[in-house]
Amino acid sequence: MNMTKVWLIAMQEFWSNLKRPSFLFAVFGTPILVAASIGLGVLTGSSGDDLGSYSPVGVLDRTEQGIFSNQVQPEEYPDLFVWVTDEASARQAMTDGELVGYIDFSPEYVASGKATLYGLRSAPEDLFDAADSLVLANLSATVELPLPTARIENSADLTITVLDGNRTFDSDSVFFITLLPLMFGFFLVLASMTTSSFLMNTLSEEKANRIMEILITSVRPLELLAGKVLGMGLLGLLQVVVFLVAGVVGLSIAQQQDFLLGLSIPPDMIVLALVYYILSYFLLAAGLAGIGAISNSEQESRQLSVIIVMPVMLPYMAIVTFLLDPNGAIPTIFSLIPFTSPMAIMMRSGLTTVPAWQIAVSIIGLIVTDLLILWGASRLFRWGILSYGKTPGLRGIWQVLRGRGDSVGQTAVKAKEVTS
Amino acid sequence: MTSPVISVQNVTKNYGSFRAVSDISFEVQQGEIFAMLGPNGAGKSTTMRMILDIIKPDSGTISVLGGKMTDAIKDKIGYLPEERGLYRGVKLLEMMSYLGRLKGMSRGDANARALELLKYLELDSHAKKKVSELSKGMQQKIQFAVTVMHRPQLIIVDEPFSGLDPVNTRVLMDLLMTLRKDGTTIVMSTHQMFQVEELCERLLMMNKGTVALYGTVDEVRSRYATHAIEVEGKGDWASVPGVAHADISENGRTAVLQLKEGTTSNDMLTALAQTPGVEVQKFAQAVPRLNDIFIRVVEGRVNA
Repeated sequence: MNMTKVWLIAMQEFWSNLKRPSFLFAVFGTPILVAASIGLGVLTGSSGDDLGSYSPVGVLDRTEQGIFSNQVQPEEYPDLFVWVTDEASARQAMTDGELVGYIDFSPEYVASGKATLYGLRSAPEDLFDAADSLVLANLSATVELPLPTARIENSADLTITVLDGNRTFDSDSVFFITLLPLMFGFFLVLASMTTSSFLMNTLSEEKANRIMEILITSVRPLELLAGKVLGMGLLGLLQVVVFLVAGVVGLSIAQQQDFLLGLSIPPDMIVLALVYYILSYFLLAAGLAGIGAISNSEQESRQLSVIIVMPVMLPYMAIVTFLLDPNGAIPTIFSLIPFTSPMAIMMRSGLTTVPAWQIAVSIIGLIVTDLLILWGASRLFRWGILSYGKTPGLRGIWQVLRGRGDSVGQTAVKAKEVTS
Repeated sequence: MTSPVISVQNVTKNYGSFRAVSDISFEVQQGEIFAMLGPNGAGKSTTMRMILDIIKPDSGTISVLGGKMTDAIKDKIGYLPEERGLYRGVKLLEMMSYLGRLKGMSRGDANARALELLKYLELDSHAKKKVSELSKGMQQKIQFAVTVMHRPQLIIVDEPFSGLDPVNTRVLMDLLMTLRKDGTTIVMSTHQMFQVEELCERLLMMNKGTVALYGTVDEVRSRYATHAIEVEGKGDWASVPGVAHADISENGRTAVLQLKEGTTSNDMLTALAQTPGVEVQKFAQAVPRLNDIFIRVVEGRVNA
């Protein structure tokens, strides 16, 4: 493979697409629209969540005064809380599925007002209201206790600790903290999708305007494919950098606000996101390049691209399911299937700590799928770039992948004939 | 004698059950303009694509510029496909430079050469325009310029003048002649026989995937010239002794007289002079136009 030519193609692809107004809109405009739609999804998702799936919650009273000894349930949440005697039994109850978490009121609670919710996943916003009600209901039952008035005015400041991870949330920033990594992960998948779509469009265009035949007498088909995938990948990385810079600037502004203090994207999530960006990019780019090569127009290629794009976007469509129960069956299954896993893992990473084995399985699955798609795309590419017959349907694509493209399309130049 | 620039030996190509090219052999020599003729679907473009290694033959061997196709040899070839293609949304200079660099040129050389060609084609004022802003004729010229950007040793052009007006056709024909003078070998396919007669030394005529005619233009024409006389005048040409068949023109003033076997030109001149009612104003050996030969080949009236 002539790397000088591959790089030349990559650079041409990079710069010519960077100048396209449609690409600039995709980079800067789409994220804004998507952020708005996610925000809406989160808002509707959380308002609809009345703690139904986050119950019961244990109460561990370790205060010297025994503030919660009367075990008074708040009126608004009569069945939410269950009293536990010690930490060990609380954790056992969580393991057995009897509790989703427990609030630890430590001996320091009276002075600091700080309590900790240990949970298997982050809690819905309503739990913070419920915790306040719990404190007030029990304080009312023990009015004779000498407590600072601050505890009545500001009853509980919950810090949430997800037990199998190191992520913590406090009551005020929980909304933003769950939202931000969610958007960050989503944008990475979006970046690979945007650039891959542009790659597909340029290929369809080059095929439709017949310049492909000239290119193919200068470079090998696989050099062309490699150059284009590389160029657009770099463009996607640029897009990611734009997101990151915007994120950092946005965060530094946000942290001027007290209630957003501590808002951050965990470093492990950035690493994970980059890994998933690269893996999802190759999946999409190779898949869509194959489609671009066999289509006769941009319109046709867009129609066919649904085969690849739809599964990748599926988790986003189930965003409410993810918010309600990020470790539930559907999010877990989506995390293990190669096409849905990049988006699913990224979305869950913002909401919970995804078990390491699921990440490992999804990464291995993605690598294997990437290799398969690259192989298939190179077959479709070699077959498709010079064939101008009817665009093959799924059956035709299958025949080409099996090396039986001879019978597909009347004017096709078959895959095995084109030099690779 | 130098080795041929292109050598095609016993090449066959099938598309499924359809045989596009059947056992053809020919050679193209250094520095000549070689014509590939034939009706649509004769196998010309398939043969060109096999020479360029875009597609592989099922059997037979092809050697180009001294050997099998390599990346280095690809860079020495310029190709103008039948289906024209340019980046419509890219500026002329940028596009020409990119395509030149894909052929191994440096950026500086590619830019300089692009400007030189644009000036030659009187398109230098459009260098910063996009292809989509140019007229169809201008786009054709740019397409041709892209083909010769990298000063190739071998140029393969498929219907180079189609869609061009006579003035632009002349500009590109002159450019081809200039390139040939510089030693470039040119293979061109065309349906315009007068262009072949004017530009080409040798030709290959294909029909239904096979070689119908192959040789120098003069040879091919003279091969069919000895048995006919072209006359102008009036009279009953068919009644002249020695005439096998008379093809009379629409206006009736000229005729091509096919001579019987054994009848020479001198015999015919004598016979015409002696035939009552025949008045001859012009008498010449009939050299068939390539166009006529082409039609006769396609209609199956000529054997290879």
